[in-house]
Amino acid sequence: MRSDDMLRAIGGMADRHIDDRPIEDIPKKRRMYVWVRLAAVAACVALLVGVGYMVVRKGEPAPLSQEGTVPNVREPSTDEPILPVYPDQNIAASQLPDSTCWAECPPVDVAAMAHGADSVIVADVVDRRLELSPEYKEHPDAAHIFESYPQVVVREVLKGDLTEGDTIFVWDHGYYYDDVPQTESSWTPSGGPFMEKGNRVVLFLDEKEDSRKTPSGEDYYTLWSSYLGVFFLDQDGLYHERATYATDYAFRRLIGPFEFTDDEPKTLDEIKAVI
Amino acid sequence: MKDHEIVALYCARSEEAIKRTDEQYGDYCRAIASRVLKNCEDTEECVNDTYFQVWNAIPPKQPSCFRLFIAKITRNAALDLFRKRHADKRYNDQIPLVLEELDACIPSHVQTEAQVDEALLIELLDRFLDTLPPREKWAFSRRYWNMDSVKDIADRLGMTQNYVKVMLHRTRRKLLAVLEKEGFDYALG
Repeated sequence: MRSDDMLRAIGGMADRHIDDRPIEDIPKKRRMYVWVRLAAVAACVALLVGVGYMVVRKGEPAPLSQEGTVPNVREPSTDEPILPVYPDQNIAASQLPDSTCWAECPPVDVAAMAHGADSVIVADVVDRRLELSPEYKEHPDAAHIFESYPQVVVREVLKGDLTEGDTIFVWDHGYYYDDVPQTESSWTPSGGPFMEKGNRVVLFLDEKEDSRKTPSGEDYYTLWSSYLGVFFLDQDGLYHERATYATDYAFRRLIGPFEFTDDEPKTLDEIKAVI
Repeated sequence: MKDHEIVALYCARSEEAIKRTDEQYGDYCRAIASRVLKNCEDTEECVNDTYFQVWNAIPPKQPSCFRLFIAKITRNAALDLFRKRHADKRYNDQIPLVLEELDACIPSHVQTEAQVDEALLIELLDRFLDTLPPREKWAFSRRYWNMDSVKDIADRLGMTQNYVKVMLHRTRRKLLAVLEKEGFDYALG
């Protein structure tokens, strides 16, 4: 067989494969410009990144703040009066708001926190217990929603009755879905860290109440204001209040009465000086 | 006149069939032949030869598409005439290129003077073309059936000539693989 034979055989191929129009009768197609190709490539890359992100996120649970996933939780709005979360906090009289409107509540600083807290300690987080949240027991995902109870060892007592070496549980702000922190939920402001094993912290604690137990029956302390009241030690030896990490405007409104404005990092000595 | 009426005239052995064919498809056949031959006299000779072959083919053949039936006969008649004249440089410069390209898709152990079973080869080609993506098939058909230049094909597809050359090269390699897989040496006559 030679190419002649192949050419002849091609001449006999089925009608369905043949376009017998004169080439002049077939309209020319405009060639795609380079920038169009580049734009197409860029779009494909963006699509791949997007799909990759969705695939990665697919394994994670939906944030608790997604509409419809968390019953009885709503964001406060600025156009209606909302009661402060903890109206009975022991804030200095001069700092108590006259109105219940969040927007009119004064901010707090280290002095106000020290004044309001029953205990102030320097502590190391040695463990973290996740317990099924009783708050969400009616939720369809109740079997997956956990509250966080970091276990800390007291290293230094700056105020209160605790003693060095005590090991206590603290109820930390924020929820977990299984073991994934819900860092964007209504109750967990974006940006603020949770207490993790290995953290050195300064904690501003409320008085322990015997009636408060973890779901498994342990005593625990709560942070002053629930969310504020924990300083994280950074690698430079400075302490940062958790609220200074938060980036969520909704959170800012949520903690309105206790918004922390003294956002400069502090040395331990500076904190001690205030206390 | 409709195609089936022309075919009926051939079946009735009426010389009117050739006259009607020329009226209906004369220019069409000349266009096909001239693409290969690039010469008016040879084109006319080729078209006359085409009519003669059609007269001999029908009956017994009853083409379902008379237009393509006559196109195929014209193309092959033009190629035959080209072979007679191919030493002459006046002739279509695409044919030597096409033949050279098709050499690449013939298994080396069957590149002989031996005759092949053309019917088997056509059947295999049809099956092979059915597996190709539409654009690739169109380019293959235009290049090796119509013998269009790569530039013309590239212009119609809105691609560069280089892209079309690469696409055709890949198609030929696929065809070579199919011929080898099908043990085409058994088709040697």
